[in-house]
Amino acid sequence: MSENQSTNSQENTDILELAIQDLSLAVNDRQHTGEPHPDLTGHGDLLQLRQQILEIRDFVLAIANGNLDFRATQKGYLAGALKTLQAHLKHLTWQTQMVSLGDYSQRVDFMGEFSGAFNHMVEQLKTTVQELEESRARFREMAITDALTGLYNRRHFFNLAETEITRALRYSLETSIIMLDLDFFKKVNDTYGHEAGDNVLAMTGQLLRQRLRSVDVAARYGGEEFVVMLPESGRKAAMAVAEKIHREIARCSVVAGGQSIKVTASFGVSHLPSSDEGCGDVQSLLKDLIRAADTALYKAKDAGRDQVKNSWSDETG
Amino acid sequence: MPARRYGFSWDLIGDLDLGRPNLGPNTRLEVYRLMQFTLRDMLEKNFGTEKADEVFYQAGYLAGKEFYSHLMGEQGDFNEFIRNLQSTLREMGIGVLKVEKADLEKGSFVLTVSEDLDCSGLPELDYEICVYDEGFISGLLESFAGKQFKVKEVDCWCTGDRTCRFTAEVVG
Repeated sequence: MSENQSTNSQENTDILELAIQDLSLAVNDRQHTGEPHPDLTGHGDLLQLRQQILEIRDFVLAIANGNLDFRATQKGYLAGALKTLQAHLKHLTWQTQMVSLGDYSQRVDFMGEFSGAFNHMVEQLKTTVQELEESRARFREMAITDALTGLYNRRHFFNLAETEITRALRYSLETSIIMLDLDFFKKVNDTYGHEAGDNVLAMTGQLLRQRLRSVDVAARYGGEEFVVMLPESGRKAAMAVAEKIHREIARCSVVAGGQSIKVTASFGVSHLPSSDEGCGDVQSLLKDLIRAADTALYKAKDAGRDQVKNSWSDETG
Repeated sequence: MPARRYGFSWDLIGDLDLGRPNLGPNTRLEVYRLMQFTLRDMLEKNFGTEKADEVFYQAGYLAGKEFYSHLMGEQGDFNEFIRNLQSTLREMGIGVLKVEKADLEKGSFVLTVSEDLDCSGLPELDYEICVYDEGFISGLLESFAGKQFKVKEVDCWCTGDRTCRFTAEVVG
């Protein structure tokens, strides 16, 4: 070996040692980001590799810290594998966002054991949300319904009736109200027991639900008293509905203790004519309508029960 | 524009049940790639790289539009569109689509396709090659959203990535 060859060999060894030292620092020392050793500046391939390692190191650190927006410029297998992990994690983020918006069809199939856990969680979430929604619907139903008759309760009747009155005023529509009260209901309870009384109330509720239109609003007003709102119905139509239900109740019977119980009911009908005024105190109007129907109902009671009276006959004679 | 012998129509897909009663509708991926890359080779050789890429993008765009109208049809919201597209692409062995980012208001999307029909398994080439896919995604997005999109591949199997990543931005 000549002296020159020996010197070159020593220089290569020195460069190799420097390069290993520098790359080792790049891999193992987080603080190492400075300029490469001056003796390495002439070795382009080495510097390129060094640059790759430094960027991949930053990329790994970013992913480890949960930063998925790191934009890696390096190409090649190692950077590519990390970009794939980044792509998976970003897609997982998007999927999680979709789940949070209620899309429970999202499934993960690229994250090993985590996929199964995630998918199970989404399925559980879907089931839980469904149960909660069903439960909420049930509670809402309970909050607005009279359990015995299946009709709306008084409070919900007022909510719906106010909406109907507002609509009637806005579009200048007629509206009618029927109040009905079961005759001698106390006697039913006293004679046949409360269970029989409950059955009579349930039968009345069922009859109203079956015979009225879907747009009509029927509710248990209290005790054995019921109220029905008939949207877009004039006097004649309202009287016809009241007469029909009156006949049907008289025709029906409930069996209790081997005995057939028949009941009758008294009816009062009131009417809100169409008006071009288009406004008014909705609550007061509704109260007046109900009061008028109630007064007519008491006229029917006073006249011997088991009949229909209206609020306008006195007006017209 | 020179006179044309025939343009694309879905009829050119043909009646595969009738035409291939024994072989069926599938073929080997090598055959697809053989046709794609020999075609590209000749296009580039005759018209240059830029024109070859432009033709590939346009062909992909046309394919995306036709694919949407014949194989997907009307879609509901973006999630439904993606869900159906994912399953169709997977069922047909085209690729595994994932969404990284979707900003519907801005019309900005980042999508990835793994096991891509065009490039997965190719040697590293130091440049992205899925130009046809760019056009294909652009045609799909335009069909769904009714707006033009510029789609660009930013990471590709051929640049060392294991999944192809595309950005899509609404134009104008």
